Amino acid sequence: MRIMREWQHLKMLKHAGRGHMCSGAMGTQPGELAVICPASPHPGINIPLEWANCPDNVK
Amino acid sequence: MHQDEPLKQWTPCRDKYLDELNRLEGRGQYTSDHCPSCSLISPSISADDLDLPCNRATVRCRDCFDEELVCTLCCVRDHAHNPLHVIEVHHTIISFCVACLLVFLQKWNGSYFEPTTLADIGLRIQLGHPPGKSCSNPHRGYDEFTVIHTNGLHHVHIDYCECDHFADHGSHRQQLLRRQWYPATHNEPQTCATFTVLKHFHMQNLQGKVAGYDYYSALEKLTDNAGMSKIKVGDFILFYFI
Repeated sequence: MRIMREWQHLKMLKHAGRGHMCSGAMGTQPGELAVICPASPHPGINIPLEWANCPDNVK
Repeated sequence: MHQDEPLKQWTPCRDKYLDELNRLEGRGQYTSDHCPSCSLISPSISADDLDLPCNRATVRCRDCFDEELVCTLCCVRDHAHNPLHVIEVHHTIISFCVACLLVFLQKWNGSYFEPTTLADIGLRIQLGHPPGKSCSNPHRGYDEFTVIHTNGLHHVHIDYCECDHFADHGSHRQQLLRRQWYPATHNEPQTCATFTVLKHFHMQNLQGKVAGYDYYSALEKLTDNAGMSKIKVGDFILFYFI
């Protein structure tokens, strides 16, 4: 099972694009490997940047 | 030795592992555009012939032990015995750049591997006869024939044997079963599951209580995790797994 832990860790690093970073895997910042929740609102991605200024009825 | 020790030794070296994983995404040591397999088969082949598109090393097999980049013809020839291997085609990105109302064809340096199938690059599976041998009177199977294997779902082109040896090779159903492909329906099957996948699922089901639906979903995701695959299997096949 250790192999599986190492494999899943490497896949996370790869998905986050750490393989091409000069600082390598050790330079990974906390939270960097997390997958952004696709259901949550992200300004500029699935809601407008100026969402706070939108009228209340479309918020 | 404490059980954490191997992980502690591994952690500082994980970049080396990551580099190797990234290397496998590219061409690796196979940097030549010429198919090495063509040159091996006919050493007399001239350099001009090697420039033909059919001899360009563009595809590789993900399931073969050696991930060598070969041309499509060699790939099809070498997979007569392994028709359910997963193939990737080396894809060069070509973009159209519009500037000053003129259209330029631009070839990027960047490139990537795109999934393809042995059926798409020309493999026809001849049942009845030994792999690689042709039949004098092949009967074309369904174009949308699907085979379920442990490495995913496969769209294949099959030919049944209807030549003079038809009596020895048996009916269409017998020809499938003798290749260890279990037909989903008794009459005119369009889907098969390999004996290997049935044994694998049976063991997973008994040992890990893996449900048929979950096992099949895993196979679908193994084939294409983005869900863009065109391969579809009729619901009836799920009865084998449920």
